[in-house]
Formats: sequence, C-alpha cells, structure tokens
Amino acid sequence: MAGSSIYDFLDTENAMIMKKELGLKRHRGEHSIYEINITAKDGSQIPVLITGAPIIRDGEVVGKIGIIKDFREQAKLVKELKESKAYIETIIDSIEDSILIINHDYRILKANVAALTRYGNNITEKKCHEITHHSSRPCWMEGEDCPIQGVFTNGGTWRTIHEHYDEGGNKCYAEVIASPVRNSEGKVVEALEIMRDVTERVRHMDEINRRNRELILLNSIASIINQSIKAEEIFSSVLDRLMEALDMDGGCVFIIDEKTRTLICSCHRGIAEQCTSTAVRIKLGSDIPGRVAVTGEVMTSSDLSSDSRISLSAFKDTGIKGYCCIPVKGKDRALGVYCLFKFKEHFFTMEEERLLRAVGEMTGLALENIRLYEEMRIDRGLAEAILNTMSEGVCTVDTNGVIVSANRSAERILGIPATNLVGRDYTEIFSEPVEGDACPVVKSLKGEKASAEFIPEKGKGDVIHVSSLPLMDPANRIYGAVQVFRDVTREREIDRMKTDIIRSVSHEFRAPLSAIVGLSEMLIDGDIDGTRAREYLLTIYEEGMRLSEMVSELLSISKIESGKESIRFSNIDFPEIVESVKRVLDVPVANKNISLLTEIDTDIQGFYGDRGKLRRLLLNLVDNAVKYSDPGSYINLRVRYSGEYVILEVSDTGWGIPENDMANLSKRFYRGTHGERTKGTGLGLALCKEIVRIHHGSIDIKSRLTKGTTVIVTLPYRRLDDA
Amino acid sequence: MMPKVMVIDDEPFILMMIEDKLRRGGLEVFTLRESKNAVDVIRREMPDLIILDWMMPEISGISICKTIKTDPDLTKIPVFMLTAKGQEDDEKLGIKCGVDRYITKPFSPRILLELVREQLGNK
Repeated sequence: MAGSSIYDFLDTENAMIMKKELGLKRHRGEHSIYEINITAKDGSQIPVLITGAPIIRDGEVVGKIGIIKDFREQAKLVKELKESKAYIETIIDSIEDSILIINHDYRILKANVAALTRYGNNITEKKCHEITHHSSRPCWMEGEDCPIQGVFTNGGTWRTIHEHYDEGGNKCYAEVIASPVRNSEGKVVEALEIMRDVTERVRHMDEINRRNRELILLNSIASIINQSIKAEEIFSSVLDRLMEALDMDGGCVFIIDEKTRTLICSCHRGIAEQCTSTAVRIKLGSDIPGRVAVTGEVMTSSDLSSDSRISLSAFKDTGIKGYCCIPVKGKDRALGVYCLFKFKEHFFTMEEERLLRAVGEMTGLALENIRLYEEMRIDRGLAEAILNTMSEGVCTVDTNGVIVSANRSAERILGIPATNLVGRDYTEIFSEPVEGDACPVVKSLKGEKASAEFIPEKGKGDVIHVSSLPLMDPANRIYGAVQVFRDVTREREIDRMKTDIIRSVSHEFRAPLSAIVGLSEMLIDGDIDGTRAREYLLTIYEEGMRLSEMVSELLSISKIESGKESIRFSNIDFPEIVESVKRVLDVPVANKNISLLTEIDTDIQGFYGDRGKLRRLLLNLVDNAVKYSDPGSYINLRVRYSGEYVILEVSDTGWGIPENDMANLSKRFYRGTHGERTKGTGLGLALCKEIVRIHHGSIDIKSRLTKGTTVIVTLPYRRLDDA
Repeated sequence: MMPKVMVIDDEPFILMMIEDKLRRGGLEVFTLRESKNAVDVIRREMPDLIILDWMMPEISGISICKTIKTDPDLTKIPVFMLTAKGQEDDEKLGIKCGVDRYITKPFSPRILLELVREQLGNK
C-alpha cells in the first residue's frame, strides 16, 4: 500500500474532485475531512472518512497526513436515520390534527401538512397566536390558558380548549395539547403543540348542556305545579324560575278574566308600581299581552324601545329593551300570558322561545286543572251541603253492600252516627223489610231500581221508606248503589188519620142522615100524619142542623189551621158566654141529671179575644164533660183571673180518660177508648186546641180513670192594645 | 100472635121511626134506649127478632149480639145490626159475631120492614 497514491483507491470522478479540493486546502494549509467512497480490491465501493492534515516545515506545506476510517457502519446508521425521519414525517403529515413545533418566542418552527393546510403554507416563522387567534399578543395575555406558556414555564404536558374564530368569522373550538421538546441536557428547547378541531364536539356538548338546563327548568316548573293548587302561587314561582333561567330583569303574569274580557296582572317583578297601575288591566286584543292572548302566538322583541312593530304599549317607555310575551295556553284557548323583559337588549333565541312556549303550555294546563278542581270542590261542597241539609237520609254502598257514605239525615233517621255507619254491611242495618219482598240494595246491585219499608233498630222514625238506585260508571258498570230513605212515620200517621177522618165523617154523618132519609121516607109513604108528622119534621130539621154544625166544625178547624180564618177580637163578657153555653147544653144536662155548677170571677174586665171561638171552646169542653160522664155526675165550670192570665177550668166526675188515650186526645177524629160508647165527631178537642193556640194560650188535661177529668185552659191577658 | 121485634138504640128518633114503621106493618115492637140491662130484658121478653145499634153508651151492640149468640136459649133469635159503622171490616166483624143481617145507616124504614118480614117468614 506504501508508495501508492490516495487517488489510486478512488474512481476517476471522485479522484478528480478530491484532487481539486485537496489542492485548495493544501494551498491554504487547512485540515480536511471527507466522507467518500473508495474502491476496494474487489472493485466494490467502501464508504470511508478521510481526514487530512498538512505537514508544515518552515512555513511550507511539505506533506500531508491522511487518516482513512472505515465508515461503512456509520453510513448504514445515517441511512437508517434518514429513513426513520422520513417515516416519522410521513406519519406526522398524515395526522389530521395540526402539529406545530414552537419555540420560546411562540414562533412556529415546523408545521405538519394538516397545519399548513389549515393555516396556510407560510406559517413557519410566524407566531402561533397570529395564526390561531389573529392576535399580536399571546393568548394568555388575552385571558386564556396558554399551554405553550405552561410548557416553557413548568414543563410537562398542557391541555386546554381554545375558542377561535375562523377566517369566515365562525366560532370554532380547538383542543390544544402542548408537550416539551428537550435537548440532550433535558432542557426544554421547543414545544410540540397538537391542535384538534373540536368545534362539533363542543357544539354537541353545548347543545346537551342547554337541553339539560331546559329539562332542569321544566322539571322544576313541573314540581312547582305539582306542589300547589293555588294559581297565583304557581305563576309567581314559575315567573321567578323563568327570570333566573333566562337571566331576565323582570316580568309579569296576566290572567284572562272571561267576564270582563280583560287581562288582569296576577303578579309582577322588576316593574315600578306606577307602571303596573297602568298595565294592571289590559283589554283582550290591545297592547302586546292582549294580542298574544288572542293570537296564542309568542311575541319577542330584542329592543322594545326601538321596535317599529310596536307603536303603543304600556311597556314601551319604561326602559325595557329585551321583551317577550308568551301565551299561557289552555286546551283550546289562551288563559293568560307571561311577560319577561330585560333592561338590556336581548335576542330571544329559537330555543328560548320554544322553552317558554312549553312553559306556557304546562302552566296553562295546570291552571285549567286548578279551575276544574275548584269547580269540582265547589260542586262537591254544594252537593255535600245539599246532602246534609236535605231531610231525606242518603247513603251509598259499594258492590259488596258495605256502606261508603252517609249524610246527616241518615244519622238522624237511623239513630246511628255516620262514623258507625260507614264500613258496616248494609244488611246489618236493614234486615227484613216490612213492605216489599227483598232488600232493595240487593236488587240495585243487580241494576234494578227498588224500594221497601223498614223498621229501624234505633232512630226516631217508626217506619222508613228506602228507595235504592244502582250507581253506574260511564261504561254502565255498576260500582255501588245509593239509598234514599225517608222517615214515613208521619206520612203513615197522616194516612191513618185520613182513613179515620173518612171513616169518622162517614160514620158521624150517617146518624143525622138516617133521620133525614128515614123519617122523610115515612112521611112521603104516608105512614105518619097529624102531630106525629110534625114531630117527624122537627127531628128532620134538628138532625139537619146537627149535620150542618159538624160540617162547620170541620171547616173551622181547617180554616184556623190554614190561617184563613180571621180572628175577630172584642171585649169578652165571660158571664154572657157561660150562660149561652149552659143554655145550649140544657137538654143533655137535664137528660143525664147532671149538676152543672159555674163560678166566674167578677173582676175580669178588658180581656180581648174572639167571642165566637171562646164560646165554642167552652161549649166543647162542657159538652165533652157531659158526654163522658154517667147520669148524676157533677160538672164544674170556673172562669178565674190569675195575674196576667184568665184561666178556664172544666172538671167533671165522669169516666176519666185511659192513660193510653192521653197523648192522642187533641188529634183530629181521635175518639179514644170511650168513642165506642158515645157519638161525636172527634173534632171537639182538636178545635179547642186550635182556638187556644190562636189566643197564645195553653191547654192542660188531667184525668183519672173512673174518677173524672179536669181541663185547664190558660189564656194570657190580652188588652185592646195587644188585640 | 103477632111477632115481637125488639129495637135497641140510644137515638130516640131511630126508635120512634122503627117503632112506627113496624107497628104499621103489623108487628109488635118493644124499644129500649139503654143497653145496660138489654140482655135481661131480652131474656124476659124473648123477642122473635132483635134490631141493635152498634155504638151505644154502657154496652155496645156487638157485645150484646155476642152474648145472645153464645147463649143457647137466645142464640136462635135473629139479630139485625143497624149501624152507622159502614166499613167492610165492621160488617165482617159483625157477621163473625153472629149478626144475621147487617144494615148500615142511613136506611130505608120500608126496606127494613121488608127484611124483618122476610126474616120472620124464614123462621
């Protein structure tokens, strides 16, 4: 190898270049280093590193030392390095996110294809904030998190989302991740920034958040509606919630008064009193709330003060700018409106309008339900009041015949408190009907209308009439039965009395009629003549008169009872009345050999009453005493004065009244046990009772069987002034 | 011998009327205004027919009828109940107590005479 020239190992081209280079360097006495291929013995090219240094003597380059280093290993490494670098760059360029290498000065040193495409080919050497924010200042100076600053200040990886505007001015979002690039000493020399476009994601998240807020708002409003049945309370709370959710300065709620066709302010916030006084009542169709109530459409204005659509409004010159009015919608019409406003301009978005419309619908339905409930409550209250004031007992049973409800009259008639009735089986209360073939409830629960009469266990009535009807739902399914019961004791008594009246009238009328019919028939047949005929005619006349008297008596009672009989007051002369009575009863008294004694206080003066009726009273009492006494009895008639009263007393030593007749004595046509033994109308005492009643007096009867009877009539002293 | 009819009623005009009619019809009539001793008088007089009022003081006509009809000596005497009690139930009760004919007031003395004759003819 010694003695060979270096160029012998090079091919011709490389040898030429080398000769030229070395010549220059030698001339300048410089060191040289080359990475070059030399030709091996076998003719193959070997990469070598040739370093050369001049050998200088006396300032002259006299020779050269050359070192040849086999560079085949290094050349391989360099090649691999280049390949991997290209590989990494291909990867980086194929990533869709923008990747930038940024230095301390925020200057972009490198950018991948995605970044170049997004921000332009000329971004290297520009500052990152210039291309992303279009700002001359770094983003942290604009109040944003700056991951690059984080990397250079503290190292580590930093992540944030930046809001940007693209070249078209559209808002967009980028997720920024910055990581440090360190040198061999570990010092952060550059920052690697990955920027990902997350505009869509952020928008979706915003949408989800907005929807969530809406749902929370609607949920809280639903909860307000559910927790109250007071319309004003609901509207007030909903208004507060809306103001809070939409960041409004004030608002008000108007409810339509259907009668006056006006909107009346139910509650308001943030409005001066003088404003509400003018806007407290708005005619349907006028102003914004009036129009919204009529059309049922939402109305919004971003600035009411300058809105050309609205020329006249109570809200126009109040400083209100952002304004919206939403209908409170019922099933088929608006029931009121919500107004919300802001003293700054506010553009109501479609979403806000949609939300407000939903709130309007929700509260509208709630208001309708409240009104329905109120109506129901009133109806129910009315029904309850009717049920509890009606004289008929009403109770309902379920399909098992168990009593579900009972009104007050039911308690009274049955003599059982409602609390003890409810829950009991109906058949426990009404077992065997006295009239009717079965328990009416059983029939009604089969869908029939039924009635029966019962005798209650307790209670006031003796006989109860029960009508029962099935209760059916709209699908005609029986869900129970309602019973209406009436105490018919009095009715039955009246029925009995009616029968008695007819019986008695027909009976009592038969005796005088017998005389009239029989005696006149014999006169007509010519059976009788002479003085006997005159006797017959007299009897016919007397019996006719008796008949007439009975009719009058009956009419008198009914006239007094019905209030049709007028009372003729006059100064009463008791001795005169007593004499008249004695005269009338002279014959029967004499026939029975009865001693009728009379005692009259002489100092009774100035007592005013109806003479005719008082005479009838005494006549009836004394006549009864005569009728119900054996021959030879004593009757005492006393009229005396006692303080503020006049007392009429008729006592006899007659048959006396059996105990069981006492309670019924003054009932019309009641004849009592002794009725079989005497003739009479059964009207006498009933008429006496009425006469005493219209004189505001009282009647008291004391009697002992076989010993006699005393009737005491007490009449309050009545003077001319009272009469 | 003329058949004897006994009439018991507390109304004098009824007694007068029946007495006049029956006498004119050729019957012997015995009247009684008080019912108290009626049964004794009946036993004494033993009439061929008795006309009774129902409602009388002291003893009622129906009670007298019951006594007659339960007394073997008297039971065959026909009893006419001449009464103002015109209800169906009253008549039923009367018949049940042995009344032979139930006549309600007001009545025709002419028909009464015919009925009495008919009853006496049946005898």
